Amino acid sequence: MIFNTQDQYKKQVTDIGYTKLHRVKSAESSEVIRYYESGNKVIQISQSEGYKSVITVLVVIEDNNITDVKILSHHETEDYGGYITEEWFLNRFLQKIGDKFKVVKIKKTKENEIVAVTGATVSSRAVVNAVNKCVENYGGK
Amino acid sequence: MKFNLKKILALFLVLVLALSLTACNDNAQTSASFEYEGNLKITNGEKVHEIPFNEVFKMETVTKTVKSVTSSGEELTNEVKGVLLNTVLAKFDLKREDFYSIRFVAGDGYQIEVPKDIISEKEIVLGYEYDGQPLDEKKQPLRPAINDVRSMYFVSNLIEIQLNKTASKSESKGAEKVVVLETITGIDQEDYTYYESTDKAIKVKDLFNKYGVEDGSTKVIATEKFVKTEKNSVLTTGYLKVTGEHRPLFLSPDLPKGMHIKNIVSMITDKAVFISAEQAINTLPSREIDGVKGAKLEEVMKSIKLDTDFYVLTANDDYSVEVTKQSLEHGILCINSKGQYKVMFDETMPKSTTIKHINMFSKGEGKSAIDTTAKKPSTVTTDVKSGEWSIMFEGLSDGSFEFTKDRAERKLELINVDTCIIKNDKEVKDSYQGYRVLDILKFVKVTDFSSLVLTASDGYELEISRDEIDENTIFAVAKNETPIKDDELVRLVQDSQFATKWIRSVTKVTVK
Repeated sequence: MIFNTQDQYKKQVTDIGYTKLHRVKSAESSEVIRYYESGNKVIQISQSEGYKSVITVLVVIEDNNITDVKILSHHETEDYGGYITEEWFLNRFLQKIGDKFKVVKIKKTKENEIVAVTGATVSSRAVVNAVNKCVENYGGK
Repeated sequence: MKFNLKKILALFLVLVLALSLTACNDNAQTSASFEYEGNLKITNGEKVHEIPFNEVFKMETVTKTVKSVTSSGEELTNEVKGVLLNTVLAKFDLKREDFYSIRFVAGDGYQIEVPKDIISEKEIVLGYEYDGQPLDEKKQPLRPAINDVRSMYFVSNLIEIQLNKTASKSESKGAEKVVVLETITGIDQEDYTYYESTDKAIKVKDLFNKYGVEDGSTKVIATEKFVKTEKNSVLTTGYLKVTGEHRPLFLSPDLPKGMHIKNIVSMITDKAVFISAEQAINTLPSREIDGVKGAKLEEVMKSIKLDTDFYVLTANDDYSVEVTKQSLEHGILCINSKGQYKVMFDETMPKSTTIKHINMFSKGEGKSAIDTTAKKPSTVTTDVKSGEWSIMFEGLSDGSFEFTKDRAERKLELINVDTCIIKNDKEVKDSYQGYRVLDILKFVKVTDFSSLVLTASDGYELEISRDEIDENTIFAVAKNETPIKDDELVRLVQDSQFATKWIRSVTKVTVK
C-alpha cells in the first residue's frame, strides 16, 4: 500500500482539472483508494502492480461512460512501460462501460479488448486491472 | 505502569518497522555474499551441464571496466565484477574460443547469439555486481558483460548458455535467390498495432513457408551496422511489420521487446535471402540514372553476397530478364514516383531490362544474358613510358616485397580506365593508364585482405577498404596517355564520383 495523504490525491485530481470534489469514503476500499463525486462525474483512483512499480490510475466515469483515464504515478521503465502515460494508449479505455477490459496483443477484435503497449504487456495489464477495479466499483460488471 | 506499557509498545513498533524495511528475500545479494537458488545451464550440443549459481559466485572473481553502446546510441561504461565465462567453462574442460557462437538465454525468454568474432577475441564476464552494486532483483543472478559491443549482449537474468560449434548453413554459402520484401505477393497482411499506429504485418512463418525456409537460423542485418543471428524457431513465432515506422521490423507479441529488430536491410537464410528494397536504397552507395537516384546494383548484389556472372531479375508478375555482371555497374535499384520498386539501367542497356515491381534476383546461366554496350577497361595499345617507380608492399605473409615498374611492365597488363569526376561542381572526364591494384595484389600473393593503407612519399597515409577496390582501381602511371610526372608516380585512381582518395606518389602499401 502506498502511504499517501488525502490532500495529495485531491490536489492531483484538482490539478488535472476536476474541481468541486466530494469524497465518498464509503465507496472506497483497498482496491479503489479514492472515490470522489463532482456533479455527474465519478472520479476514482486505483493502484495496480506494474512491471517494476505500483501504478496509480485515475478513472473518470460519467453516465456510464469512461471519459478520462490518467496515470498519476509510476516508475516503469521509460522505453517500455513508460508509454502507458501516452494519450493514444489511455484513449483506448474511453468508451461506454461494458464487459470487463482485457489485454490483447497485436490488435483488438472486441470493444472491451485493450491492445497493450508494444513490449510492455505487464505494465499495460496493470492499467487495465486498475480501470476494471474502478468500473466494478462504479457499478459496472 | 501505563507509561511503561506505552513506551514498550512504541519501541516494539519502531523495531517492527525497522526490521520490515531491511527484510531480505531468498535471493538476497549483498556485497558480502551472493546467493541465488538454481543452476546455470550450459548446453554443448547434446550435452547439458548444470552448475549451481552459488558455486559460480564462489569462483575466482574479476573486475573489469566495460564499455557498451545501447540501441539508442548511448555509450555506457560500467565496472563489472563477476566470473570469467572461461573460468566457468573450464570446469567442463571447455573454452569459449573453441565455439562458433554462444547464445545467452534469459529467464523471460530473451536470447541472443554472440558471434565468433566477439567470442574469439573478447573476454566475457558473467557479472553479478555492476558499478559496485549487486544486480537488481530482475537482472539477477548473472548478467554477462563484454567490452566494446552493443548492450544487447548484456543479457539480464541469464539462466542458460548454449555453445554452438558450427556455422549455420545460411552463413556458409552465398545467396542463390534474393527476394525483395516490398513486392512479395501471396502472403496475407494483417493489422498490427504498433504503439499508436495500426500497421500491416506478415507472419514470418508464412514468409518462410513460401520460400521453403525450414529449421536453422537466419542472419538479420539492419541499419546502423546491426547484425544478429536468430533461430528460425524464434523468428517464426513473430511478424514482419511491413508498413509504418521502422519498417521492415521483426517483432513478436510473445518475445521481449529487446528481441525486436527494426529497419531490417536483409535476412539471410539457407534457402533465400530477403532484402528490403527501401532500406537498400537508403543505405547503400547510390548513383543517378536519368535523374533518378537509386542504390548501385553491384552494391546491392555485394551486400546480399549474390556473386555470379549472370543475374536474372524477376518482377512479381514473373516477367524476367537476364543480365551480365558487368551490366550491374550501369543499373540501380530505385523507387519511382508511384512508390513502385524497380531496377533500371542507363542508356547502355535496352529498355526491356527495366523491371518494375522487382521481386527477385537470382543466378542465371547466361543463355540470354543482356550485356552493357559500355566500353570496358581496355588494354592500352599506345606506348606509355613513365619514369621509374616502385611500391613497397608490407604486411604480406612472408614479410615485404618491392614491386617495381620493371616487374609491372614484364608481368602485368597495362589497362585504361575512363573516369568522370565532379570537380568544382563540374564533370571532368579523363582516362588513366595503369595497373590494376587487384592484379598487383595477386602477384604478391595476397589472397585475402580487409583494407590497404597507402603511404605517399611525403608520409601522408590513406586507408581504403576492400569494398572500395574493384577491377577499375589502378595505380596509374599515365593520364590521357601522357606519363604522370615522376614525383607523382604512382597515383591511385578509381572509378568514383570524386577524386578525394586518388592519392599521389604512392610508395608503400600495407596490407591489412
